[in-house]
Amino acid sequence: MFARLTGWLSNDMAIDLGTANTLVYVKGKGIVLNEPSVVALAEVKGRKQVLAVGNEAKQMLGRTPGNIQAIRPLRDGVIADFEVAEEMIKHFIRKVHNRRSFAAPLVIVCVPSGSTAVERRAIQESAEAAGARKVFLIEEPMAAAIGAGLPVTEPTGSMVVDIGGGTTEVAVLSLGGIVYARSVRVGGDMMDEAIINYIRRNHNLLVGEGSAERIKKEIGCACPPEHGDGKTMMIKGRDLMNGVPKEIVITQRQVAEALAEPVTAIIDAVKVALEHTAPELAADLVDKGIILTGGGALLYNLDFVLRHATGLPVSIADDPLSCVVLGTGRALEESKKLRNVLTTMY
Amino acid sequence: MKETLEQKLAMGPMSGLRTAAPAADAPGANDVGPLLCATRMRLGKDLQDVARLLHIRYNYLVAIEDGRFEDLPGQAYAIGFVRAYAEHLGLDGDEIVRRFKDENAGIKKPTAFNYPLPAPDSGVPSVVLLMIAVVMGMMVYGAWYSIAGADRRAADLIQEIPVRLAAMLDRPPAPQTVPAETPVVNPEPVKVVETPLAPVAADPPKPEPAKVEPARTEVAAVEAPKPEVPKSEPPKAEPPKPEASTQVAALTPAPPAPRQNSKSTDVIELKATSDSWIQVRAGDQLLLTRLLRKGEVYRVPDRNGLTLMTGNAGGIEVSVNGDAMPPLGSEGTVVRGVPLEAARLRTMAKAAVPVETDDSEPD
Repeated sequence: MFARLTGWLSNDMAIDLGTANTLVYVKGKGIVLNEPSVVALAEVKGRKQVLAVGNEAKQMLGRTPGNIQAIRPLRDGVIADFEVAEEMIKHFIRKVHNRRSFAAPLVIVCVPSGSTAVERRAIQESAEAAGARKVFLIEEPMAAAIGAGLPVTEPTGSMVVDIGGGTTEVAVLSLGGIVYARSVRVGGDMMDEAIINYIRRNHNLLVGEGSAERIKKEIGCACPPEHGDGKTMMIKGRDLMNGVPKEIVITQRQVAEALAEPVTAIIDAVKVALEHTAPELAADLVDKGIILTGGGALLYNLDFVLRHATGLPVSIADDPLSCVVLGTGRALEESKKLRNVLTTMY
Repeated sequence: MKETLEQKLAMGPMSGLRTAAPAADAPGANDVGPLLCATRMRLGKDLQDVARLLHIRYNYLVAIEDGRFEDLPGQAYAIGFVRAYAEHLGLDGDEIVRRFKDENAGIKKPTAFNYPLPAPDSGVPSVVLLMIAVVMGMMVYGAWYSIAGADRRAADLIQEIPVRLAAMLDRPPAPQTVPAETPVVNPEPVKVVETPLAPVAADPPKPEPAKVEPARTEVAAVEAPKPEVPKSEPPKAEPPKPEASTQVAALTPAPPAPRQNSKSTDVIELKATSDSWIQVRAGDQLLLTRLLRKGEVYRVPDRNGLTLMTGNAGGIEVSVNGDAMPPLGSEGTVVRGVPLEAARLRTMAKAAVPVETDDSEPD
């Protein structure tokens, strides 16, 4: 009774709770929020309080004094810090409802296909604790495929590769279900880490996560350029030899070299998935190929590398960053029709 | 260049076909298909070559160049192919995709999802079933209500009756027993006939009224003589009996027969003047064992051969038809075998000898 009443007062939401970014889709409105999954906590009189969430908190990442902590509550696509994640979801729910009280929306959250029951339960419980009236879960590859507009309900195979911040999901879908899914804990974060490690090894320079992410977005490349060193970029960090701040120039070729390991891991995951695909579905894939979604799909030449590695047509989805949340939002809008893809842990 | 020539040869006539500009007279030179084709021609690339590099089917690329969206596998793939092709030719992928979407209105509508669902088990629509269930439920309820209502009326009737019955119940012998006993009367006379033979002459008169006993009133007594007459039995005792059975009982301390007589009228009550334990037996059968609280009254059932045992003779007041009998004993005395029969109690009262015997068993 009370739930129904508060349901009237709230907007149902679809949340793509990503390792790097959280996107929120509100029923009837579309995507209303796209912010980094970062929470800044301040210690006031021995009690931790939320200082900032999202963009504001991300700017604090790596620049905090002793009494402030900037935390990313999700790691590898799942919740690493339960309470902080709850605070973050609470913040997003409130933000969407313009800080209105009594908001108890129905929430659909997507989870990696490789997540365990415990991890899924953690996500569901934190969303419930954040004030959701009812929580449904949807598997990320399914959401990505729906969001990309793949004909997932038809009796034909479709393959989607969703490269997120924490995980890469490779899945073959047919008849409205996941035929085969593989989740590897390689994603944007690992690429950033690879860049940091490469620069430290080769230039004795320590750069922060934020700088590494910028390098990846600007001159990141899945394979070295055909001629020369490609684009270049100035980066700043701390010299490990004498401990002073330093600026160096890094080339596209070097970044491609740095990213070789995570890219290879993604290619391997796709190859393994293809090996496990039934022949009929594999035949469908020859014609239509693979669709790339997620932020990782924007890595320059990744489609080219995958195309050569698999021999299949590889296309990048329209608006790859929003595919998952759009698919989750579609499940919210058509929850009656798409109820088969929604699950709950109770 | 040499390679591409070889490839062209290997591809056969189709590749040659696509080297010609598709439609120079195209209505909109801005259209994505012709634009892509023109760019490709300008760059001198072969479509087969592009197909092999991008791993996109040659047919699909031809469809894109000809603007046949319906021949492409699906919206998501079509956009991906167009983007890949445009970027391969060095064009701005996003812009080409935007134009491609504008051209093909059908591409904007989202993919329809029709989940395969199992067919419903039976052909009967659930709404009809629901209606039938509701109607049946109402019928069952109606039936139950009417039955329950009838019950209630019967109960009401019963409640009214007791008021009248209560008055009738005051008279111990139920009128119904009269017809029931009358047939029994016949065997009884036989016994009665026997009794006069053996015992004293005084006894016989009682059996005769016993015969008549079914009719409990004086009217019955009037009738009684009639059966007596044919029997022609000792006349002495007969007249007094109809008059007053009490007197007869007083006269004859006789055994069972007279008691049956008095049974109908005498009411023996035990009243506790102080807390007293009593036990009432009918031979071996135990009728009652309890502690009578001060002021409690126990009405002795109308039965033969009942005896009383009490642990507090002084605390029990025996009354016959409301006449108090002398106390059975002193306070705290145990008394056994007090016969609960009006006649015997009266004799005892006359003798004024309380039955103090602790061990005297009745006959």
